[in-house]
This record gives sequence, structure tokens and C-alpha cells, in this order.
Amino acid sequence: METLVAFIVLAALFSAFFRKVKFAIILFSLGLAGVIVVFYYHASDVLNLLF
Amino acid sequence: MDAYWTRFVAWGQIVAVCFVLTGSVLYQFVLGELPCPLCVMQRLSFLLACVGPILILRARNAEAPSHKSFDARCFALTIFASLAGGAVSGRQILLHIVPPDPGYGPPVLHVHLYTWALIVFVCLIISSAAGVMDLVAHPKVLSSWLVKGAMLWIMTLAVVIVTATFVMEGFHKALPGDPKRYELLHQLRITH
Repeated sequence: METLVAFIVLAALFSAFFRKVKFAIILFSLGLAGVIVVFYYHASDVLNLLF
Repeated sequence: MDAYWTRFVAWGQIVAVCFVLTGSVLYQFVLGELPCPLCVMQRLSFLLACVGPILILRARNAEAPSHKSFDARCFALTIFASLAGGAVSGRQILLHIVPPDPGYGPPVLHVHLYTWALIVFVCLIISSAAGVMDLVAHPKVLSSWLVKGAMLWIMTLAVVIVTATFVMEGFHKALPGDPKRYELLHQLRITH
């Protein structure tokens, strides 16, 4: 999971670097969603107490 | 005029992230401290926070007729990524907050890396707000070699971090909670 998110983040950075604005924003959104999902996967014990 | 202030803030954000990530990479490869999954998520959040500043420095003139709205959107990306990263840092701080827990990894200037990460995420949010405000109207142009240097630095770090994450995780579903070895090298029987 972390590797997949990492490659999405890398793609977002390269899209921004090569001025592909729409791709960069789409990949950014996917990367951010990935970070949140993986965070939930690793921290679900605490987050289950909150929600 | 080059909108010096906005570009300067974007450049400063990238350089600040570069310093933090360089420290974290040095900790991994020089001291042999492998990052935990939460540390990896903070690294990726830092990289995501750089997407907006890179767009400001690289794509603004080519893509956006209205500079201010484009800048605001790019800084919004930084704020979203910083909020996610700050949440991860906060979680990691809370994990180790109860004494006598010594914390995860060696501290830098008596402060652990995840606490530094939270401080930098908060600074990124504040600087993004300041970047939208156009505080200094200066007719100066940000030096191109400064911009190119920051770009080269952050892109190199991104490639190193993504490769290191892949090598640490290998072909497993997720990173272990407390990684002790590079799983890919173990799976390929390069190390035992």
C-alpha cells in the first residue's frame, strides 16, 4: 500500500514539474486519499475509539 | 513584475521540506534507522505539500491567466497535504507521549523527528496563508538558479524516498509496524 501511494505521489510531483496541471491535481487527490487510507489502516485502533 | 512574494514563499516551502526530508533520509541511510509506516506517511505528505509550490514555480505563467486564483489553489493543495501530515504527526506524538516512553528514534536538538514534522506542517499552513496575501510587492525576479536548485533537490529526494519505500515494503501488502530490514532485498535473497 505504501509503495503504491508513494508512486502516485511521485507521479504527482513529476506532473507538476512538467506543467501538467490537471494531471498533477488528479494525482495529488489520489495521493492524499491514499495517505488517509493507509493512515487509517495503521491507526484504526485509535480512530475506532473516536468514531 | 514577477509576483516575487508568492514565488519566494513557494520556493521557501520547497526548501524547508527539502531540509526535513534530507534529515530523514540521512537518518535512514547513515544511522540505519528505518522509518515506521507513520514516518513514511509523513514523508509522503511532505512530498504532496510540494506539489502546489512546484506548480507555482513551474506552471503558473504557462497555464493560468489569473495568477492570484491559481496561486490560491496551489497553496490550498499545500494546506490539504499539511493537514493530513499533521494528523499523522499528531497521532505519532500521542503514541509516545506517556512517560517513561523514550519515543521512536533518536531526537534532533532534544525533539523527535515526528514533533519536528508537526512543527513544519504547521509552518507550511501558515506560510501558505501568508503566500496568498501578497505581503511584499517587489519588482525583483526570483533567481532562476535558486528555483532550479530547489527543483533538483526535491525531485531527487522524491525518487530516493519512493525507491526506499518500495525496497522496505517489498511485495508485502503493507509495511510492518516496526520495520527491521529491507524486505525486498530479503525476498530477492540478496540479504538474509
